[in-house]
Amino acid sequence: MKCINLLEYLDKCLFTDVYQKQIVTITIDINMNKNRMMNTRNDFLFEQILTTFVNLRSLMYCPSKMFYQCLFFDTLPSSLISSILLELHVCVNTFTECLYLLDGRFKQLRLFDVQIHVIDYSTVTLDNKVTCYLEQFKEILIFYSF
Amino acid sequence: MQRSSVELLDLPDEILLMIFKNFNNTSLLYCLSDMNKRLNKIIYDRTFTHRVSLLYLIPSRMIKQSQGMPLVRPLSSQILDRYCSHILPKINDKIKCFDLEPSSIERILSTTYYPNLTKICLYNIHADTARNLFSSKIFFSSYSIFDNEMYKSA
Repeated sequence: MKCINLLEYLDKCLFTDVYQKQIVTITIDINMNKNRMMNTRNDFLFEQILTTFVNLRSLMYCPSKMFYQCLFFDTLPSSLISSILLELHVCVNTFTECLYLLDGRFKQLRLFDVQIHVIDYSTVTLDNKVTCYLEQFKEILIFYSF
Repeated sequence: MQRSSVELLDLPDEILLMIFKNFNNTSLLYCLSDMNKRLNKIIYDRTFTHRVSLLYLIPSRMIKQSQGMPLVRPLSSQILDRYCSHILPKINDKIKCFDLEPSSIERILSTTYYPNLTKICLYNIHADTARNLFSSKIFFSSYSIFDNEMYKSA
């Protein structure tokens, strides 16, 4: 009987249940197994953080910016969106991915700090609406790593 | 020559506060917590308890080849035990920010509830562990209560 009560209690103790509204700032530095790094995608985690924490204002994603930590996106899922995020520090693979992130999906973003590994020829064009949106930025930091 | 008989506790609170500010707050809380009521009052001040780093950060200059190497190490189990059993339950409402590493996340978060926790920094965490944590697949309490030994050895 005691054990059952304990399990009921545990059910209510899940991290996201308890803290999903409370957490406003997340820093996450991912360690990937070197052998698996080519197969491991971490964009799912990025999306999951943005959708789970409903009051998230600042996200520092992989601050050590190792090459294997950068985000790869084939296409950005439409669910990857936040109307309240103010600060984003991130590392992406190509310039195209950087443009994807600036297409207006983060409506209130004020600080965008990105490290790009490859400047590729991008077929993505930003339309007028998005260029207006870019004017709201206080700071955009772009680092090109290689 | 007579030795001065002034001890640390003879100093006024303000001076103690100034001295303590020069220490790493993780060590400070570990060493001085529960020594006496007066010290408790000083070290449980938000200056020392608003951000708690329960890990060792290794300066990158100490590491020859930093790529792929963990830059953080877990605290010793002795320190962690003391934190979980004595210190965290007393300062849980003061903690605003946690710096954590993967081997102790579950244990620390399941020790007590942190009503003012708004910032969380996870270092050296595996993508899968993080996904489990954020998708509520980890019943983190159960690790510390039932499977602690198993989890440590894994």
